[in-house]
Amino acid sequence: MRMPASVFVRAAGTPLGFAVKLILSFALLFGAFEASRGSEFERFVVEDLILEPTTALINAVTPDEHAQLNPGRVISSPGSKLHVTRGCEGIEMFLLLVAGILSFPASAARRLQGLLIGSALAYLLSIARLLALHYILRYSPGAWEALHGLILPLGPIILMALFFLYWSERATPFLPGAQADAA
Amino acid sequence: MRREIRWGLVALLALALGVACAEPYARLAAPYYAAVDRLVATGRPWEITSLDVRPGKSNLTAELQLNANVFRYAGAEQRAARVVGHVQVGEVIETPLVYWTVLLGLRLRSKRQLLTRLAVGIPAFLVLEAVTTSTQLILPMAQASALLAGEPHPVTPWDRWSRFLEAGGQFVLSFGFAILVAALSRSRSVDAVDKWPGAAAPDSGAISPDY
Repeated sequence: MRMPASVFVRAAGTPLGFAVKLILSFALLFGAFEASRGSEFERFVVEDLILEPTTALINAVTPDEHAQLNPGRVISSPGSKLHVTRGCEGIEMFLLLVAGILSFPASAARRLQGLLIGSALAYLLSIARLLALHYILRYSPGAWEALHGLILPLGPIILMALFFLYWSERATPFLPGAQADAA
Repeated sequence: MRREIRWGLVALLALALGVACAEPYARLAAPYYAAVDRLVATGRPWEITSLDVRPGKSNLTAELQLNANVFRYAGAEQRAARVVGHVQVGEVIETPLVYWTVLLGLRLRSKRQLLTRLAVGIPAFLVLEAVTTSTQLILPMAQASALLAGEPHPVTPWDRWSRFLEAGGQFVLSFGFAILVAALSRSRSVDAVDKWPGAAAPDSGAISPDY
């Protein structure tokens, strides 16, 4: 049975509504994370969950690097010093993911699924980006400008956006009965 | 072709274009950023002396550099500080890249809709550029003023805005502006197009921003 268009409109809203919700929820999440700067939670997320595994991975892949995580969030090796500043840790991918999924109408189960898979992807991309930055700085500093300035910040976000497109196409409207009607 | 693949290819093309055009774009846009920043500096104890593309400190990057004098108060004769604001050229092109890719990548129904989208899109883009790249260049002037006012570790509203942009806000704003423009430039006759695809074609099974 065909579902009336109005059901979809009420369920999914409009792209404009989605964009407004996305901006607002991202701003809220950003504000909350900024408020946690300097706290144990923030240190745990950035240093213990992201920077230390990245350093360990560099040493596992290339033991000769002798990479270390130094105070000030610097991943250093004899040939490079990567200063991981605010906005370079990859937190923005998590914020974008959560804001996108919360702003899009979907069932709770679909949202949970999107958050779990998306978080795993965002985590892998964060680590991969830092690894790439380290090796570029060490072995190909000439490519630093294009990669650090544009491709490595934007590339992972584009991959997250493609994941979001994939997830949203499969997300179902949360209105009761919509799924039954569609079937 | 699957939607994710199509958008993925579009994004790859856009990234390649961004890499090739980042520096020329920054040079081209520099006078606009300078004009916006001079407007913001009006009435404040700031004087912008130059804004152009130069090599960064490490020589690994080219960056847009704003040089400015900061005074203790508006109208003071002697400058109290000289500051340099900088944004990497890769970051400069991020806003136009995301904005125009999303805006022009959304489905169009007619040439008229394209023209309307451009007519609304260009002024919106100028606003977007002003609130993203231009504001990031202003940051050190605000920090210097706060230091001169006696705040030892100043976190000005410009700092907070800059942090928001760097933490993904620039991407969110560019995307949001593009969707806003697409919605504003729709004609009544294609009203349904601006709903999710499911609204226009209930049996498509898709409710995602690919209209």
